Amino acid sequence: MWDRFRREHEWQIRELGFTIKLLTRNPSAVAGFTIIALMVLLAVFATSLTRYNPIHISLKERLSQPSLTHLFGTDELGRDILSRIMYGARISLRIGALVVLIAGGCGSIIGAVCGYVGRQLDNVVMRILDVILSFPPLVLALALAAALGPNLNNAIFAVAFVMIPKFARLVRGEALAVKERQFVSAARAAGARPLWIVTHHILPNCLSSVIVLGTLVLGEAILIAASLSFIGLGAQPPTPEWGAMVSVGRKFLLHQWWYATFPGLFILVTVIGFNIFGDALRDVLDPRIRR
Amino acid sequence: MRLLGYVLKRLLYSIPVLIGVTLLVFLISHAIPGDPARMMAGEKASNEAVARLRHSLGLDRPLPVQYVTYLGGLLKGDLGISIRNQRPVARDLMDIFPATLELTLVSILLCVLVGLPLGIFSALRRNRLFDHVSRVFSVVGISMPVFWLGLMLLLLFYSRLGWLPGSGRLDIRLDPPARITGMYLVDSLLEGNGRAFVSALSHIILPAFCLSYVYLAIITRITRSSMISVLGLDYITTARANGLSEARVVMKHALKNALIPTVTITGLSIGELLGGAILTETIFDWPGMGKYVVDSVGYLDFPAIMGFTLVVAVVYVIINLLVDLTYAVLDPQIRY
Repeated sequence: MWDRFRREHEWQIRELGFTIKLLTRNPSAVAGFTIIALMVLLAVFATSLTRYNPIHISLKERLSQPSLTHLFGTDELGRDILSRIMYGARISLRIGALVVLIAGGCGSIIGAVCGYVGRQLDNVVMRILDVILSFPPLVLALALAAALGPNLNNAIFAVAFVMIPKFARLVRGEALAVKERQFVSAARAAGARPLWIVTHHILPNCLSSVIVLGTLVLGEAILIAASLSFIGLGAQPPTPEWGAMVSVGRKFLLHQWWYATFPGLFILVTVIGFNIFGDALRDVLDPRIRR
Repeated sequence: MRLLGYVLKRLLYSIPVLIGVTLLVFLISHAIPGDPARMMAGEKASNEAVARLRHSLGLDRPLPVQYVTYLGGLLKGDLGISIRNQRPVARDLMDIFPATLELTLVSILLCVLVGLPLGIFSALRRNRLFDHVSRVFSVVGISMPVFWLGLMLLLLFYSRLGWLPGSGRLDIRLDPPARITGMYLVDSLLEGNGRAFVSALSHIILPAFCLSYVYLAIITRITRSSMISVLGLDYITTARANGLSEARVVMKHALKNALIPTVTITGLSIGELLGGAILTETIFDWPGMGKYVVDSVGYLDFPAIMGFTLVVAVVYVIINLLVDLTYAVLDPQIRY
């Protein structure tokens, strides 16, 4: 079966191998990938990497300074901040991934259909997306999350909603170009239905741009979701979400500097990882500047 | 004439977007789970009292009718009554708007004064140390959680070094200048009150830097890349071949054309800054619209939250319109 897969997709596999080779030669790609991989490892192995329970309260050790027993110190309930950060990586990465899946999925389908069908549908949908783009992202996400009620799932939905137009516009633009290509006319002449053309020709041809945008949006989504949690509209205590931890740590800023500093630092580093990897991916995948 | 046609078309096009914005805000405020009338009347109110309130607020009428009523109110400047302090939201926002405007304007000024030279210099020193440093600086900028940057600035410059004040707009021992524009920097200058001006200036430095950092990064990158592409054009080579000094080539010939994308981004950033102000104002206790909306979130004060959202979106649409028009004037190639 593997052999057959390899024969049928020989060209794609060669292309993927070539992309990976280019990526390993690009220092930003390697740096970004290393950061992302480290965060994923932290998230996956949080349970075995730390002996502390992230929500275990130990009042005797409250607000203790960074030391060998607690590398990043403890919070106001004596919980180990490093282990809370490790568990927090699970939450932040999950937020980013879910937002990209929801917004990327909905946005790509909307964009592909609008770009392929065109006419009135395209006009109406694009105007609706213009309205969503008329709000600064954080402002609209805040209003939505506030209206839906303060919890993590609503925050994820709010951020995803705000991100849909980005994907839809990108894919629509690509779809407009792809649908003029000969293989699409050929498929149409052979009697392929519009839905088949969208799923088999339009969407696969947009994949590489969607992946690049997805990587960049992943970082942005983590940032906006952390901001919502900081305001009190995302994850609620005792969830060890990074933004929420900074929010509580703010009260202790002047005397216990470590509390707000470390979780915020992890947000920054993670988002940097996605941003530089996304940028490098764009350079490598863009056929105009490739090679 | 063609320019006028474009302006008119662009103006007309903003109208459906503005209507869409009001519709979206209206729909979001109706997505609130639970009964707004019950929330306003309080937990202890009787069912009849809640029903009366619902009727008097018009909440028992069909949605389209409610939307038309809402639009009519908007045209009269009515954004509803705040649940938290029972004052009209529009008046609250008017009172605090100058504080946010002042912060935004100083931030934009910082962005341009620092970002533009950084971008030009990076382009001239392409792939040298300075360019790499500025690249790192901008990647960090676009990845920065604004609220965390604010806290770190407070920790360093207020708590540890004690160089700058950490919250508010003015030293509490000073009287605020008489309200002319509502912006302390301007008002204290108009009043000739030097001490208030210095105090207002020292209070605005940290929040303005915090707010501007992200856009500073973006403006630096845009200026750099447009400068690089302009410097590669033939007319620049011609100018150099004619023996013009490098400074003249860069500052006069290249910069003028390289500035167009920067102008666009600067304009768009003003709108984005209003979003960033939410976090910055909260951190620095800056009594503007951003802090107002975060305080309202704590009380689930929906009229206030939705009023803020609508005002910011409308300002954003208007700024986009102005940017597009400026763009059309600056670049004669752009006509749609």
